[in-house]
Amino acid sequence: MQPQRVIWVLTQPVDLRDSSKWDRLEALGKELIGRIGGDGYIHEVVSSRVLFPQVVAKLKGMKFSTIVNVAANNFTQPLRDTFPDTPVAHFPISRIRELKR
Amino acid sequence: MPADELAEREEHFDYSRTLIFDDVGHTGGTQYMVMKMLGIEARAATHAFMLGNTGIHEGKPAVVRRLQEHGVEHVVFAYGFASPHDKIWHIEDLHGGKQRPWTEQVNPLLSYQPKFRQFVRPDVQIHDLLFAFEQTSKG
Repeated sequence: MQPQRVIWVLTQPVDLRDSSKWDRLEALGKELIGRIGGDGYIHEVVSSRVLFPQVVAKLKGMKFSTIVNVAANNFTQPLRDTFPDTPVAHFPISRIRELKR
Repeated sequence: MPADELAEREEHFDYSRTLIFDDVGHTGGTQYMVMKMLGIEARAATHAFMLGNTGIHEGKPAVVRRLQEHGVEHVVFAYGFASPHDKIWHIEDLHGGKQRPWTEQVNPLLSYQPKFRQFVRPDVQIHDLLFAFEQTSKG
């Protein structure tokens, strides 16, 4: 099935705090919009530099006993910075599977 | 032994009120598997994504509705998308080493690969993560 909207997601493995890399990465992403496949196949570019603060804002006020980060490790430290009183464990699903064997 | 290590970690962390964070929630397979493997009860978990799939995957509810149906009270995301209307591409799709169902669509992007490689740390095992994710999603 041909999707009606293709979204390019810029997430790992770029350090969220590395502004210069994000500037260049997002510029490249914007360059791709409307250029692939000759029919505007990439319609939107979103990045974790923008989305991470948004999702964190929605978590404000919630209290957690533990945070499990199953995404890339570059989100672990920003999560620790955001929730300094909460233990943050980095358990990518591949690692959990490996440990369970 | 690895199983001992996980048991130790399970004892170390208090999963009574857990936030499970992922960058993209797609089918819900990963999130369900994490709860199952770590012994986290759905009603004690909050799931957060930067992008959450509110649509349908292979005729079944995707991650947002799937988790809610499992009893998860809080599913939080910054940006919603709805498969199959929407398709998500990751930066990893530029690496070229991973054959994905939409490979033919991705191929034109590979010309951009040298430009994107400068952002990728060599120690990041992206393909392993993706493989595990896809295997989980099939389960």
